Amino acid sequence: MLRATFRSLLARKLRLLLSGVAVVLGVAFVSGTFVLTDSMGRVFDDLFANVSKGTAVNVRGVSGIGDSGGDTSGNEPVPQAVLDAVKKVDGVAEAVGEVAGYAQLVDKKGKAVTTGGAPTLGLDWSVSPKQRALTLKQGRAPAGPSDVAIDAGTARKAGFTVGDKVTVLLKGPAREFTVVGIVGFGTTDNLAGATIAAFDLESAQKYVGTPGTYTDLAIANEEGVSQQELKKRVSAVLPTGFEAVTQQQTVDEASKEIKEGLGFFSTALLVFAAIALFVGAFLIFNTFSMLIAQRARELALMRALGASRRQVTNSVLLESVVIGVFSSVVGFVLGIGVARALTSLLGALGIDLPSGETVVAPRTVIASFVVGIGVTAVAALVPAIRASRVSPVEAMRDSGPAEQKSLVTRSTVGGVLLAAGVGLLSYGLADGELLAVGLGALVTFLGVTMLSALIARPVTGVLGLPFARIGIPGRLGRGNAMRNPRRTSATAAALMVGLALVAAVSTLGSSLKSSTVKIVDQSLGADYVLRTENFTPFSGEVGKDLRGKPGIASVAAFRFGEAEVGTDTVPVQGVEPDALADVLKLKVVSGGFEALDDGIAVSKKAATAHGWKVGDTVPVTWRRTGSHPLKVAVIFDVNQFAGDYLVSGVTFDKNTSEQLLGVVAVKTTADSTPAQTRALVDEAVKPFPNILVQDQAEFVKSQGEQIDTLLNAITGLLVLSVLIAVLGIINTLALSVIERTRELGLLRAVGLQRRQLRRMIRVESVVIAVYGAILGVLVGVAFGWALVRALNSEGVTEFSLPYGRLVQVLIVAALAGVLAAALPARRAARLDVLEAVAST
Amino acid sequence: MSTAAVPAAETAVETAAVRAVDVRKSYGKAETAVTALAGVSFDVPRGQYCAVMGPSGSGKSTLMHCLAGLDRVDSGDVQIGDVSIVGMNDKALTALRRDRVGFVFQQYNLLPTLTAEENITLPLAIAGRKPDAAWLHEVVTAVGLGDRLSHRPAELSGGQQQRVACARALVTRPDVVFADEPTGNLDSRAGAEVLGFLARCVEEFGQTIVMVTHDPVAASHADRVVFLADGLVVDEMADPTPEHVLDRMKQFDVAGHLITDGTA
Repeated sequence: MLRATFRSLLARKLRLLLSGVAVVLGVAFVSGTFVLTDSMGRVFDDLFANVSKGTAVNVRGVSGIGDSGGDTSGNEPVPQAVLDAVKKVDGVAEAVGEVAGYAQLVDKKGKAVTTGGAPTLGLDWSVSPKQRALTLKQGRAPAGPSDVAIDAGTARKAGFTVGDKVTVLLKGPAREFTVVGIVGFGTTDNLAGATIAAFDLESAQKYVGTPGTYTDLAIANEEGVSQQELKKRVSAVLPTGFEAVTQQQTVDEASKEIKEGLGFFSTALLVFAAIALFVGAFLIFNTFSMLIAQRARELALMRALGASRRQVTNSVLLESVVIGVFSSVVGFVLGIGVARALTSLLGALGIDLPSGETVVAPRTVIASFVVGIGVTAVAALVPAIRASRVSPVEAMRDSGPAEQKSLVTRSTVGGVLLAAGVGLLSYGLADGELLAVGLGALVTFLGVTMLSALIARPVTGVLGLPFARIGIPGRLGRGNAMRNPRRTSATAAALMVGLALVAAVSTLGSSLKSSTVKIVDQSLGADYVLRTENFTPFSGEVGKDLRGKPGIASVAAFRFGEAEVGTDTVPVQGVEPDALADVLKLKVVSGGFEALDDGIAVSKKAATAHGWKVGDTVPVTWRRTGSHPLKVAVIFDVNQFAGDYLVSGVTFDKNTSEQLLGVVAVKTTADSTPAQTRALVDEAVKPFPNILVQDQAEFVKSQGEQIDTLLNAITGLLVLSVLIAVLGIINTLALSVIERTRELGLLRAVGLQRRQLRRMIRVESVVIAVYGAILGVLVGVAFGWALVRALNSEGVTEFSLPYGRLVQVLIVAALAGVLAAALPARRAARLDVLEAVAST
Repeated sequence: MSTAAVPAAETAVETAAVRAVDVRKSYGKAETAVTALAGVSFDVPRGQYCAVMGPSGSGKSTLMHCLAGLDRVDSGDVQIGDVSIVGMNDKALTALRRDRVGFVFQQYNLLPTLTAEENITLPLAIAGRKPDAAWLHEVVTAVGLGDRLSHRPAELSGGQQQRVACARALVTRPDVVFADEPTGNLDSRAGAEVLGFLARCVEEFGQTIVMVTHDPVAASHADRVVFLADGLVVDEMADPTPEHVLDRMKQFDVAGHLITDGTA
């Protein structure tokens, strides 16, 4: 039996190779993701450990909410007096103050150096060579009020060399500096896409920090004093509100932050890997089903010769495991290459990752093999059981593959699966359980696949009609597509999965865009919105000059931040109360904005959830200043721009350190003209090249573009699963060609030209592909609709179909069909007529 | 070597539907080459029902394949009607098979996705032509399938399927119909029906038929039997009866070689 298994594997090399490719790609995705994120994690660990090698203990303001993840710039700054006190502690070899904050570089063309959302850091050139994280690569260290050193990555990207002038945007007014040095962060040129501007300590305090204070203190120990011991001694001299932590803890916090980010990244990639593998499973399932149908006589003969059912099942499963092992090995190795390729891709995009060794964790190896072998074996399970049901009598029968059984069981199981899937999906969406959403989608796909066999014949019949009208190749191709509904639906279903997800995210995107129009119209009163491209924070100076200018009614500066309310960390915005009513269309439920100066405004949603009324006290805890309860001044109706919590700008600035803005909203007077006010606003932001000025229409448009960018990225990642599905079509067609060799020979004998034969197979392929696309579009739109409904409370109130994209999907599917047909058609056309006619 | 075949090739020049001139064909490479046809020459006049007989390995199937344009000859000439098919490219050969040749194979003769009628008109559909309704009706009536035209092959008996195949072979009014063991897969009654039908085609429509068979009963329906052995035409017989054919066949030994020179 074992020998027979391997013989049969070898005899079908090509078929199995194709189905193996699907698993290889999925496994490569999995192992690539793990290798990439593990390697990145390791690199950051090393980096953080290395750059702060000389430091034993850090002193910083106590974070009011959670830990600060290595970034203390949001905490209470450490005053000079604390540094002076720490210096006197026994066992301190050296104590220096460090400064970190916002510094946005402007390139030579006057454009802000973009980072794609990574921070734009302003740092001090540490006075201590021992504890300095930055290394000088070129030029000299910054030493005066107009000196700056920038990181080598940014210097290269923006074309700066030592001696160049550079404008730097700061939380206060922008300033011009001279580049005196090019620096690295530890051994790397660039810190994962962030830009670095380093100043001498005094300038750093003045421009990115607060004069007379430090973001944190870095303390080196004398020999013989442990980190723990030094921490204890330093803590003793610290006033309330400050804490000492060991360097180890600082490193751990920073790595934890990075690892959470990487974890999110890796989960996102793994979701796409899972989709690809799911589609791959369809391919395996279909391939095995067809091979077993074709081998029915051979299997029956084995049964007739005394092989038990179990032996037959096991022989098929063994085949699948061999393919699984083979594919896992190849996929695993390929994944390491994928990780390397992704690293260089990120590098090309300007995110210079510090180079390091490739980390292959045991987990990566295990996951690759478990996933690869598991998916293959599970997908082959049903065909294997079906193989064991082949009755020995079939060995004597003279017919080809057995006639098809009824679809009753199939439709019952399919119906149950569909109902279960939809149930899981709605539960998941309602409760925000992402796992249930994913599982629900998966089960729904399986249900639809099984049920789709019921409608495969009529639907492919209709789809094939236009082709059938044209000529006999079309009519034959249509007939072949209609011929075996199970096979057609399983092949089409693989394509359905990828395309359904494309259709779902497109529907969601299109609905988001429509909803944005409505939200902006209903919630935003401002005529101009001033912001940066990625909504990164910007200088508090922006918009200040506009106040009181002719034609300008009010200017609201929105600070974005977070605070702990009760036990939850929530987004909180700070804004001038008097301008609020002008720039946001807020409906007051109770109370009034007059009392907001030292109170808090909460949305109806938050108020209802917590049972607050006007005058109640809300427990608010800030990162910098800790607990400061605020009285509810006003309850307002839900407004997407206001969020759930609003405080006055004064309250916000008092309790946070950054002093940066997120958005500035400008309302013009009724008697002004847009041309006049636009010129005024444009003029006012001229010193800040990172600021975009947008009127409502432009704001809506840019939001739409942002949604499109995200959609395209997701669609791009789904392309892999669509490609695997195309492999599946190729496989099905190739197997069909083999199965129908005799028919093809007959057709050629009675005069069908090669060209016509190829067209026949192309038609079959296109009909199957378009059928899959139609299923995908239907299921996808349904998913999209469910998502939109679930996000209704988040402001996605409009449902809108992305017609253009859906038509695109159908066209792409048809083209994929043509493409998939190429090889099998060529093979069919090359069949030797005589051999084909003579084959059994 | 028999000389009986040579005069046959030299007579009936004007009206031949199929003509083979010194056709040679071998398979395999130099040393291991197997000669299937060692120089076969013979004509089938228009309107003749000609059976080709011979033991296994005599080359009768190869001959039919070469005559029908399914296989290429090594040397010699093959003509269908007045056209030499030797040297035609695949496209031209395919078109020739479609328009001027009909086929009836032993088994799996029909496309399962098409109805009986669609199978019958398949060669016309491939050529993009409309069937001639009167002729189609005549053919369908002759094979006795009038009420089964909308059935798919799976719903027809073996004999019915083979009659559909015969109708398909006739529908283009080909120069010649090649039948390769058309009764090989049928029981004797169904076989007799098919044979009877083929004979009627010759009588009523003047159809030329070349049938390869090893069944003396099948061969006895033909006007003429050509005997093949070792890749050569060794004998022929006009107005055959099953007994005569069987007697003649008995002269081939077990290995298929000729025991004595033909005397029939």
